[in-house]
Amino acid sequence: MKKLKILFFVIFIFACIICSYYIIIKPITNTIENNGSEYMGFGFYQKNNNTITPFNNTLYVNNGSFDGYMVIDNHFNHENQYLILAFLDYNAIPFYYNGTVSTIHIVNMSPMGMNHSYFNITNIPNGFHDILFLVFLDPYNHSLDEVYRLDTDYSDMGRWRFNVVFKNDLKPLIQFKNVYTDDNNSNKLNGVLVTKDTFSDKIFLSKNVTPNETLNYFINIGNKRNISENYAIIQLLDYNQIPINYNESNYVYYGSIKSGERSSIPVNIKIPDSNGVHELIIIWTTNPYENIWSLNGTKNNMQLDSIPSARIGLNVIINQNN
Amino acid sequence: MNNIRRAILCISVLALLGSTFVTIASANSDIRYQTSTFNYHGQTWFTASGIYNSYIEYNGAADSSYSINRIGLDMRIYDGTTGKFLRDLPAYGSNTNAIAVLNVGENANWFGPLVRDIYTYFTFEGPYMNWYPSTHDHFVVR
Repeated sequence: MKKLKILFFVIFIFACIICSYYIIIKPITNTIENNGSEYMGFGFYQKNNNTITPFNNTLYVNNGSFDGYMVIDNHFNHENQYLILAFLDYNAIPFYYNGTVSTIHIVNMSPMGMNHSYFNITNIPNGFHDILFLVFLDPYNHSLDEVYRLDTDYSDMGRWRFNVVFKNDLKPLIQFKNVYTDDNNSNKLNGVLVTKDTFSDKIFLSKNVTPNETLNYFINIGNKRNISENYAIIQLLDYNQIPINYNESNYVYYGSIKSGERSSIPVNIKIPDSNGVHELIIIWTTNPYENIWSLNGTKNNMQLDSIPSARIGLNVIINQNN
Repeated sequence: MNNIRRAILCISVLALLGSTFVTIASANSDIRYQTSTFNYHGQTWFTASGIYNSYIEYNGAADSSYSINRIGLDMRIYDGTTGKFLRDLPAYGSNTNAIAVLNVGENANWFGPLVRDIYTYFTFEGPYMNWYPSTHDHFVVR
């Protein structure tokens, strides 16, 4: 009798599941469009006497150097290449990684592989600094296909920011500029968008260009949050940092944007003189030099992120007649 | 009897969850994310959701190394015909889940064009690692 009760109960439960599926779930579930299973991971830790701990505080370094372990998780079913950069106060710097000192480091990874490697940054000057690491997935994919280019917008880049203090905690004095702005209430942008024209909504993805020409375009920054925000912008051409305007010496643009505003910042570069596709990427970093950690070890809930623009493919075509 | 009932209920809940989410479990993480559409009151809705199981156990012990502090979720929408940027939709995220719901139906006039590309960017932030899944959904509203 007891077994029969259990059997009835089991049948009842499964009947309920089937009914709930047809009554509740199926009528409102049209299609499952996307349930991807691949992604990249990026992280850091420190190791002391075989004890692993996260970097979860401002780092007070003793001798002007900062070291630890970097992890890249290639959670893909295929091999991938990664490119790593480090920035001190938003300027690219050489650093030790996996046996070499260089500004650009390349890592080739196997499917579902994880890479743990020691890194070291030396010669950190006195004061409070932001150190930013970026890792780019598949950095030398030069496809000019628009779908691929759009897929790189906001994507395919890992990032990790540290506050590092050496000798004193004086922050750099930065003038955050609030220019080239429009406070149109219909602002729909909340982030970075690179366009060929000012305040345009047409994203810049690729262009055929000629060697040494000056290419003008606009970096649009939008703020839909309800607070003002400072930001830093850097430009990378083939993963080398380039000036914000090619005939100037500023490699970082520091801006400020109020709630509801959109800025459209005019910039330019000089096109390289070598044939082929060159990769232009703009990195937008929110709230630079803010304390990531409070004294009691809790993380700042401000937006503290670095977001890449779409990778812009600049296809240099050398005119054979010249 | 009570134990059997609990077990069956447990299995039922897991089965339901399994039907809605695709688990992407590696040795180190239990990250789940998904985008989907559904019809409700004659409108088409798009949802993006990310959840994280904060109670992962390995070898019988909870492993906080792979916990998640926050899940970030952003959406960017383009006109699927012209490639023109339409709007950004930052969504709410917490330490265990993030969800965004967007009306993409034909009556959602504010949204404009009938062909839409929706890009969804997740950030699973942990104390040691961040993970960055992203998705791209293409809609043709009929």
